[in-house]
Amino acid sequence: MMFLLIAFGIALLSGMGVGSGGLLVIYLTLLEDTPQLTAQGINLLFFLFASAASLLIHLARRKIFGGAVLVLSLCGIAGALLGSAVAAQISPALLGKLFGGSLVITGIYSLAREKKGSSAAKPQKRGKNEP
Amino acid sequence: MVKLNSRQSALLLVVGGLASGFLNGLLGAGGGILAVLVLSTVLSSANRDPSSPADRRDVFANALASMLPTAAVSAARYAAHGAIRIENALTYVLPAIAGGLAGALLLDRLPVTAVRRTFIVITIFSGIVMLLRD
Repeated sequence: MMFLLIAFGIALLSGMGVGSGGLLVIYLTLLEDTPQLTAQGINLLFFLFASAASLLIHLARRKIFGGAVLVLSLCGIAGALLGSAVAAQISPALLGKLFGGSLVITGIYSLAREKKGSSAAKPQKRGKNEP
Repeated sequence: MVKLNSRQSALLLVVGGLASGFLNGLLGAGGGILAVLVLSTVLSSANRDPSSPADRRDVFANALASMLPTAAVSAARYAAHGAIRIENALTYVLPAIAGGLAGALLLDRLPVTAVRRTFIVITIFSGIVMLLRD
């Protein structure tokens, strides 16, 4: 039951655009002791189901730029073929470290963007002599 | 936000696509943030009306659309390498679909910023744990 709730929550975050890429891998490797490569593979399938479902809603409500999506996805496929080939060759321990490192980097970057966005939205304080 | 011409935008899409796909294939996750960053830059550059910049939700939807085929190929390669079995992943189907639909439907109604910040903190903490463990 707990697992179903966790999976639902992670998919909810994904559907909202908050991001969820790392959470399921974290849960599987740290709490379920799943091998790193297997956890990553399960996460990919999970993402496919969650994202396909949410994309149905987004396609109806959002503006899709077909040209940009096409180029990004075709190049993404080429990159994915190379990346998955590399993943199959390196040790699980190294893969885990790389995954952890990527979480820290993207997390710090995302936090910096959030803070930059919120400070830009704040109204500026007026000086003493300003009307 | 940096403004690019059409050639620069095309180059960014190619390089960004390769990079996000590589990350997705290597780590089974990620690449999405890169796709969002690339699309934010490209779509804002293409927008000719400065009073209506590309909506953040449009950017996310486009990033999702571009990452889906990438993730499908990554998943297929992982299965080919024997890293996953479809029957193991079927456990996740229903909660994944339900959660994904709920998230998309509730996107306009939930405090996304607060949720996002909490998620970022959890992500950084978890990343540190994974880096430090043996």
